[in-house]
Amino acid sequence: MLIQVDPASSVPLGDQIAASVRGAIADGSVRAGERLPAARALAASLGVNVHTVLRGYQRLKEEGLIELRRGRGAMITGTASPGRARLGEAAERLITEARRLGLSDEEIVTLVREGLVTP
Amino acid sequence: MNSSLRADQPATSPPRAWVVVLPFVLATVVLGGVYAAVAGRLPEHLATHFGPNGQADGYTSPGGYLILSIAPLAVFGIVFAVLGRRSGAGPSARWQPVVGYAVAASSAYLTGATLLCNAGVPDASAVRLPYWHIAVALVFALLAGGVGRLLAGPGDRAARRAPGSEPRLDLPGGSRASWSHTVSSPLMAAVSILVCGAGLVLGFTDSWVVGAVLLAAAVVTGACASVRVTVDRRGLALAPTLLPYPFRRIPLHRIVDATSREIVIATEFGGWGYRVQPGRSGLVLRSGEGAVLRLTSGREFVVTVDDAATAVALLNTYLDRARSK
Repeated sequence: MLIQVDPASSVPLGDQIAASVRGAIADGSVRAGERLPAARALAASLGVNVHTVLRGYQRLKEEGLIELRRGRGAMITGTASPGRARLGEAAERLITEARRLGLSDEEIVTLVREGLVTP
Repeated sequence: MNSSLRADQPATSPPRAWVVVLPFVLATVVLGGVYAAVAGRLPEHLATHFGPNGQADGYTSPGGYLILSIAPLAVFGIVFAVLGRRSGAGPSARWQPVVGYAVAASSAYLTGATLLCNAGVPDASAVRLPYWHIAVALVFALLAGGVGRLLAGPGDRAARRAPGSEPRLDLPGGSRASWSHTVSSPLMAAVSILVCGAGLVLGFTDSWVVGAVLLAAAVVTGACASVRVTVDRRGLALAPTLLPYPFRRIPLHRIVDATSREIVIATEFGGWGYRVQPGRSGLVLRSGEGAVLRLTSGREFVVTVDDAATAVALLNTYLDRARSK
């Protein structure tokens, strides 16, 4: 799995790490049950702070793509599928586009909620 | 991610069969010639074994001695010819002729010297074979080994590869990347568990020294059973999956370039695990896709791992960056 970050980008580094992992799940190069590198090892490898990596891992956990267990590291969950990962990527695109148009976080959530109300 | 990254590599041919067999044939012919020349002047029983002071202490009939000397040469010749065929074009194939030539030359020298010492002697018990003959045999072995190396051909696969043709990764300037993948061997994990169990049992019942040695062996085997291979701005690193502290690191400045290819353990390494061979070393837990690093020392480092194509592309990209600085 290739994890890529660009310190010059406006996207936070933790989100860039999450995006790399999401992309690897989406294109099938990482499968359920595989272990991610330990946060400390990945931080040293990329030359970033270990908390940055943990922020990215936390995000993936909230999306249901990885499990975080103390002492056992991060593991791709059984429910993580390329489809789930692509959904996360779509949400990311929605947020980026909405922010580019100047929408507040409240307005973005409202937008999604309204989409859910209509049957 | 890993398509269109592959670069093909020209295969090298193993040394020709006659090169491998030649020293044994020559040694047999020379011994036959020496025997024919001195046969009329040999005693009834030859002195064929010599004690610490060079004094004879073992005797054989001339005909028997000739057969006992030539038969091993024929056996060695056949063994080396078969080995040469089986090991293909790997670096070990380049060293087999060296060993073959050295063995043939030194054994032919010692046998020939024994025959000549016995020639024209009425009583075999007076025959002496001084120690310096062993030194001369070693010199013969070295010289013949050198000839074998020359006849086997250069076999330098690195020299035949076009420079700069290795795959690269599209990595925008300033951005950083880290590639990693685990590779595991269930066989080695099973061996580790067995050795660990044996260590515990023997440690309690037999002696704690045996137990400790077995437990240490189990830890080493276990550490190698599942390994995370990491490629990043620092180079390549191997660390146990469960304990992220590398046991082997190859920094970028020691690497010339990297390629990926199919690796067949049986013919190239002859076994699983962390292998060290003349000209190369590496971690081979399974056959199949692997990364081959050419080092500045002239050696190769091999590691078999999935998606090695991406790994070597990233390594080459970082190597380019380091050189353009």
